Amino acid sequence: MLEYVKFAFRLLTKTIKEHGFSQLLRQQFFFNRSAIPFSIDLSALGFQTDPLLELGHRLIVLRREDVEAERWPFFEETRRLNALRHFKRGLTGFGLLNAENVVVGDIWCVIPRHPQAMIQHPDLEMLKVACAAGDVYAYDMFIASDFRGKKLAAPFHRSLELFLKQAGWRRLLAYYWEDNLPARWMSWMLKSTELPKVRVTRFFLFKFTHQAPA
Amino acid sequence: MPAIQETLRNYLATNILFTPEGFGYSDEDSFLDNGIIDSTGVVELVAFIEEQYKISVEDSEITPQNFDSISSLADYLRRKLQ
Repeated sequence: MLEYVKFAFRLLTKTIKEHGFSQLLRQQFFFNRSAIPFSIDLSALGFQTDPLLELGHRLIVLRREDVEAERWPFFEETRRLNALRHFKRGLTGFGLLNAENVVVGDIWCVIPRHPQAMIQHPDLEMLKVACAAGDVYAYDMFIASDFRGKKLAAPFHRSLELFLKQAGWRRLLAYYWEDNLPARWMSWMLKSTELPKVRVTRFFLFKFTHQAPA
Repeated sequence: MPAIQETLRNYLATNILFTPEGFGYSDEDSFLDNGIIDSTGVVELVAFIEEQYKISVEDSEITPQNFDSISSLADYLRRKLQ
C-alpha cells in the first residue's frame, strides 16, 4: 500500500510538472474517446534478428527480485515503482536497457501461464477483443523523455515481438488512443492489423465502452 | 519559393535525420518502412508543415496515404494549398 501511495504521488506530481493540471484531468475524464485495438501475427514477423542490438540497446526481462534489489537502475524512479506495482498484478515486464545498463524504457505484458490458457485483462474487456490461446497482451509502453526521438520505440517493440515469438506465442494484442498520434504512427510502422475500434468514456475509475460505428 | 519536395527534403535531413549530407532517400521511399520518421518525428513534421504552409492538419488527414513519403506528402500539401 505504501509503495502504491508513493507511486501515485510521484506520478501525480510528475504529470502536473511536465504536462500541467489539465493533462491530469484529461487522463481521468473523457467522453467518447476512440481506442483502436490491434494485433500482430508473431508467426509472420519479417525479421529474424533483434533490431535493438545494432542500436546498442537490448531487451531484458524485468524480474521482481532484480527490480527490488535495483540491479538495473531505472532512468525514471516512477517507472521502478510502477514495475513493483505491476509485479503484484502478475504482469511480465520487459526493459529497454541502454549501453550504460540503465533501463530507459519498459513495456508490460499479460502472458498466459501455459500455452493453452487464455489471457484476461480489464482492458481486453473494454476493447471487446476476443482472445485465443497463444495470445499475449502488451500495454503501458514507456520510453523516458530524454530518450524519445532516437528511433528506439519501434525497435523496442519489434524486439519484444521476436522474444515472444521465440517463446512460442502466436499473437500480440495491444491498443492505442486514436488521438495519440505517436502511438498511431508506431502501429503503422509495426504493420499491425487494426481491430474494430471502441469508444470509451471515463470518469475516474469508472469506464464505459461501446463499439464504434464502422 | 522552393518546390515543396525540396523544402521537405531539407527539413527531414536537418531536423529528423540530423545529417548535413542531405536527404539520402528517393521521394517515393516509405517513411514507415525505412524508419525515416519515428513516432515522435511525425509530431514534429506535422507542426513544421502547419507552420511552414500556414495550414491546419486534421487528425483524419494524417494517414499513410498522405504522410508516407516525400511524394505523397507533397501531393497532400498541394491539395491543401489549392
